[in-house]
Amino acid sequence: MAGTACDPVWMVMDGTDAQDAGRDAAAPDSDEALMARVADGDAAAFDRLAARHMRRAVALAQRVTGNPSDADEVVQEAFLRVWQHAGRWEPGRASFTAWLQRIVVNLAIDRRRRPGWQPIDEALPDEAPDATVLIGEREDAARVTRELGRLNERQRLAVVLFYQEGLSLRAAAEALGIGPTAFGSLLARARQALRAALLEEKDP
Amino acid sequence: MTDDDVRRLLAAHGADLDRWPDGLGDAARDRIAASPALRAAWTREEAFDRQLAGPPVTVDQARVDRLVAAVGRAVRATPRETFRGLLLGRMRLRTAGALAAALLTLGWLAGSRPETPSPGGGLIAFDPPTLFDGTAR
Repeated sequence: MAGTACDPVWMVMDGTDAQDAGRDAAAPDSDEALMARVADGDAAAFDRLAARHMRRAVALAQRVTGNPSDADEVVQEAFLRVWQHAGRWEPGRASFTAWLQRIVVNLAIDRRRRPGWQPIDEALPDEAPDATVLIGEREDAARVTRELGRLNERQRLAVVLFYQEGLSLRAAAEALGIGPTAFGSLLARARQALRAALLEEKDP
Repeated sequence: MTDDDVRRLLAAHGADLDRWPDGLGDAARDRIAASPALRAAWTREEAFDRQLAGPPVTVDQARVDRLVAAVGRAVRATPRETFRGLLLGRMRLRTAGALAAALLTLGWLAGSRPETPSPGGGLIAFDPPTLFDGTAR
């Protein structure tokens, strides 16, 4: 019953979940230890941190911007900010993952707000077993993407972070800079709005 | 928790009971298992969750490697504005330490230098040849 809908590809990275990789703060290669070295100007520590978190950061940026090339630019800018502002990160206040997610989300939002921004529809994998299933899935995905785009920005981000990126309630709330209770309410309203919109689209 | 509560929570938070806030999912689990109507509601919400999740974003390893290399190059070309950097510029730490030690030594020497009395007792003994009203002494 648990762990159903989300299949976030970024959770698996070279066989290791990025969150697990940096979880033991005392370990010499933990996110905390690497960030301390990055704050001291250690570029090799930065490389390790970037390699550990890049895949999920790209996936998140792509979900929010809806565009792979924008996502690539967003993550490069995000990691550059990590390097420049490493000294500002406070391990006691937020995990490195949450801090990075917040940077990526904010930059991706800025990118969407730029004049002339255009999303590119997410392509489904080509290797679907059945053409009918593929068409059905593609239509469903297109409808969800369309209705998701009509939600207000915060509701849309709540759905992206929680359902599409598979973040926990707490982590998604941290990424948006709000409390878990407020995030729970935001998510419930987004879900309700999407359900109503999809039903209306199906049966106008 | 009533069946209506469970339906309301399913509609609000989806079918993954482990992700419900405040451990509410644990309380709902047994009720869902015991009620065919709630199981049907759970199945509907599970399908909706799948719809919301959409297709996964695929990020291939070549793209990851390219981006890691690009940010690695970028940070090596980007000077960091650390406090030490602002204070010392590009000076090496050993040089900066030697300079600081030299300045401390100089300060200590200057402070411990015995005061040599000026001839005539200094300012107290200063006797201006002209008074403030311009008349000569």
